[in-house]
Amino acid sequence: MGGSRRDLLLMVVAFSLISLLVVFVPQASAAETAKNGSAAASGATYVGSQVCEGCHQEQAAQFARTVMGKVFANAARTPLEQRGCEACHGPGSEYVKQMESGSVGNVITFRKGAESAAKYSAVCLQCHEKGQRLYWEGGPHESAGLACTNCHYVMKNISPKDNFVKKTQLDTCFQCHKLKRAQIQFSSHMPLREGKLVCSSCHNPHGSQGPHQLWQNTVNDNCYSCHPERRGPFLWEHPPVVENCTICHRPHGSNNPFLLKVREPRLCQQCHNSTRHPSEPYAYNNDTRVLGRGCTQCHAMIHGSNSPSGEFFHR
Amino acid sequence: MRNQRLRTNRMGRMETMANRRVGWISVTLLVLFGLFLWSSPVLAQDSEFLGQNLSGSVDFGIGNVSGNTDSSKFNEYRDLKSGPFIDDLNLNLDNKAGTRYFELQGTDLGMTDQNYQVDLGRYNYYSVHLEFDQTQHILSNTATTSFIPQGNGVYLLPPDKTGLTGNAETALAASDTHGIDLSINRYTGKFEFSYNPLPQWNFQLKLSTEREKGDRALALDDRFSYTIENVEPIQYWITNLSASAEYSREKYDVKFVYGLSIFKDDLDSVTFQNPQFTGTNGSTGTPDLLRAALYPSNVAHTFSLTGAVRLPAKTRFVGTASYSLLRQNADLIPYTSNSYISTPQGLPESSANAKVNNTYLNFVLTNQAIKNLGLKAHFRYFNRENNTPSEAFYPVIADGATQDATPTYNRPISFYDQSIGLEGDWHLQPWATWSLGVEHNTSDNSDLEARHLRENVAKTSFNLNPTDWLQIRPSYEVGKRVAGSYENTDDNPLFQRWFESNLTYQKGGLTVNVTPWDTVSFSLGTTYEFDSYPHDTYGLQKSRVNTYTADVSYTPVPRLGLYANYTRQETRSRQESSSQSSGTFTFDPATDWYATIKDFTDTVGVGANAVLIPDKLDAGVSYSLTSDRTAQYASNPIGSTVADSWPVIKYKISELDTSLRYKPRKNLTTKLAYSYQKYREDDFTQDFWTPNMGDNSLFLGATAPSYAAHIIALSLQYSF
Repeated sequence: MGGSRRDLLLMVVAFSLISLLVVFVPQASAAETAKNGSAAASGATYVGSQVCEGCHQEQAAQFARTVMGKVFANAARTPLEQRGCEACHGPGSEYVKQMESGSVGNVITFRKGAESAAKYSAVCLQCHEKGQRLYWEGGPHESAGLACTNCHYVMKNISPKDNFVKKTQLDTCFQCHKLKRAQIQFSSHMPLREGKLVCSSCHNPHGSQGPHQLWQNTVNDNCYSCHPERRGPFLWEHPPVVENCTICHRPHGSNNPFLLKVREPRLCQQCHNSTRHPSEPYAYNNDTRVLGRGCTQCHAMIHGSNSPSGEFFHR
Repeated sequence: MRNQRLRTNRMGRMETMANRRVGWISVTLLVLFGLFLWSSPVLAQDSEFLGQNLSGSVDFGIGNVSGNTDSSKFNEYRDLKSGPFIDDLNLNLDNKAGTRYFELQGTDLGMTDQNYQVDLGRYNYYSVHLEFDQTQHILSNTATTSFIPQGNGVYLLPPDKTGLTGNAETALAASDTHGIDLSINRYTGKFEFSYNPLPQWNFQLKLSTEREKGDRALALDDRFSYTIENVEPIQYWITNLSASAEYSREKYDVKFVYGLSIFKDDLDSVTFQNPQFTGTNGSTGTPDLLRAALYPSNVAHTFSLTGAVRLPAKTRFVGTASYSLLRQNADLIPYTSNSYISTPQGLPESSANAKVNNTYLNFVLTNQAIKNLGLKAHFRYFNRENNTPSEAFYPVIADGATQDATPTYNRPISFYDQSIGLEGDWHLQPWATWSLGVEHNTSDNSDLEARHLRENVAKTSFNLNPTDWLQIRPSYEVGKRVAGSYENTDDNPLFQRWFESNLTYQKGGLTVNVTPWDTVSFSLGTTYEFDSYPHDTYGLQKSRVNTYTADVSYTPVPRLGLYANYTRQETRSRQESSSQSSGTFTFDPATDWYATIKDFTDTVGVGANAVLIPDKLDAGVSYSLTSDRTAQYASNPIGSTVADSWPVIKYKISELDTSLRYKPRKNLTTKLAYSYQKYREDDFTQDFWTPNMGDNSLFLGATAPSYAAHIIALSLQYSF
């Protein structure tokens, strides 16, 4: 594995060069951007939540029942939290002035399309850019132009937990991931539709250090969190198993047993077909290599064997 | 078998009668209790209890399940049966000042899929979460076996069922068997504590312990000749601990996490008595016992450090460095359980002494300095360093007659995988964003034949919102993987394994979301993935996945909502092989055969929700259908090798749900629900599979047959 160090070195050098490119090339226009940003400041001041509640009693009553409402009202610890409504909607003095003259504006309303997704998310990230959301910026959902408000609604309790815009987490995710909604209905599936798992059992939708927004560093580490028996390490290892579970399995649902991509023995024959019995086509009728669990009826320890006689994963 | 079925039928009838009795009593109690709640004066919301703000709800009722539900698929991951139930229980307590809370939640109380959670704490300071969860996975309820468990993973046959020869398994399979449920139950307890002593500090401790118990099918073969199937006992303990500390400021954040995962298997092996053993192994080498090692106990430690920092010029860096230690030193079982053969070569070590160290790095740098341009660079590195010693083993294959004379060395697998990429999001217009990205991946695996794999990827997408009612998202990705060298050690020099061979692939997608009016929205989407392995003469040649989705929702009047959706997934793959009966590959196109696999699944859902009397009466109806067809076409165009197509495998899962909800009072809801659920399988791999297949093998006959069920439930939800 000597190539590993060389490749790593090359990668680090390349990453450094790209980083320099990312950081310094745009700097020429940064000053202009900053200038524009400061010019956009409205100069509005904070008026306090009581002023807002004067007109928005119903919203205030619903918000008071939410976790965030309780924190703002009863357990605020930072200056931002103590601002109540204006912590998220921005200083309201200009808004109040305009209200008096019969028009509205100058606060962040979070209405669809009124502002950019980045601006909406920036409001939430004032407090929430930590913990599970460290990888939000640059993550797949941020890159796709989503805002926190696409999935969360904090003004009242729609879902029992986590302030989702829908009653359940699955319904929230399925707003966009319609194919996954179908896949969990397949005959071989994990217990999502039965409510024993949710998307966030495996994925961190706010972005993560792992691939596919998984909580863990690798696909396999994610699978091991519920199936640690497959982790080994084993005396006899099966190369695709230690490399990536998804070489053989479709985790979101499959019509083949055990979430397999293709039924045995064809799945195994995609790699094992050179000589002897793995190379045979097999008739469907009365052949135990096709029926039931196929190859793994004999090669039962296919995820790895710890028997000294287990080199073929029989034992 | 007949007696057993008669017993089962008689017990089933008695159970049905008992269920009916319980059902009527429960309905009566439910109605009486409902009347009491309806007339009760203590139905105010946000009640006070011992000076605390109290709220909550309970959802309970009575249900009846009828029809043909004798299939493991019906209650695969749930526990649905006739009788009373408590679906949901919630209790929320806030102190008078609204600073502290206590929440109790229970679902499916008393069932085998029950869950209970307690959350308590002080808002914004600390929180405690306690949870108990039970999850079942029923694999099959049709299995029968003659084996009798002796404890410690040993299964023996009745004395008169040993020493069978030839096709005697037929007799064994047909008589003196008992049913055995193949299922796995998980019982999980969790404790989580989160503490913020100051707003910028967070400490978390998570501890969970899980008991996993049950049986699943396991077959052991006797010298490759035939297979004896019985059960694999599952007796696992899984303990996970995670401790983290995080310090966050406006400009930077540092987080450290330690994770410990302990897997303990109460059993190290499973042993089946061999029905073919006649008392002496003689020259045939017939083993008296068949034994396999079960998953060994193991431990994993993970240390992880994540840091994020905001840099000048609207740049942000976030990175994670992680190091894991995986250890496994369970005692090795002997080479064989066959007590009639000698094993002159002993084990080189008492355990595998397996040691794997994983290093993981992930760095992301983002920049928003240029107006309308977002840049992102990423670097990801994973290295699996397997330090397990490679030792000389002398296996006794399948507990056969002799021990291998020449050693076989275990091959610990090490590999690394790394990726570097640059992506840009260019906001061309306020309504249009163009994304472009490139990525370079390299990997190498000590055990594979392909060395120094390199992959280049380019991808682009648009996010177009030309009006506030239209969104269009096309995307395209293309990649090419090339092996630096291929050291073919396979018997077939023309063969390369697809996941390590040269690859070209393409992915594309298009999504259109339209909301012309507030009352109507629809979306259309399609994706495709195409993988091609141009250098593979044998093995997987290409695979393709196409998907199509369509969704529409319509609210003609505020009190009526209608929706429909459709999804189609098509997967195709083509593979080639050469029928070689000997252990040496001989190139002969006449032996070549091909298999094309097509798996098409259609999913349809329609539904309506109507408010019949505002705040009083509403109704809902929905129907979903998933229909799958998997076909395998095989042929051998020029040779004599018989490669038959297999029968088409079909699955259909459908569900009709209707409900009527009536709210006699603000915090009392009654619900009458009816559901018709149907699962139909037409799968020759199950239907043609019998306990005895005529080759001396013996199976459990574990299948998951079709079902059709009518479910009626009357429930009350009471909120306080």
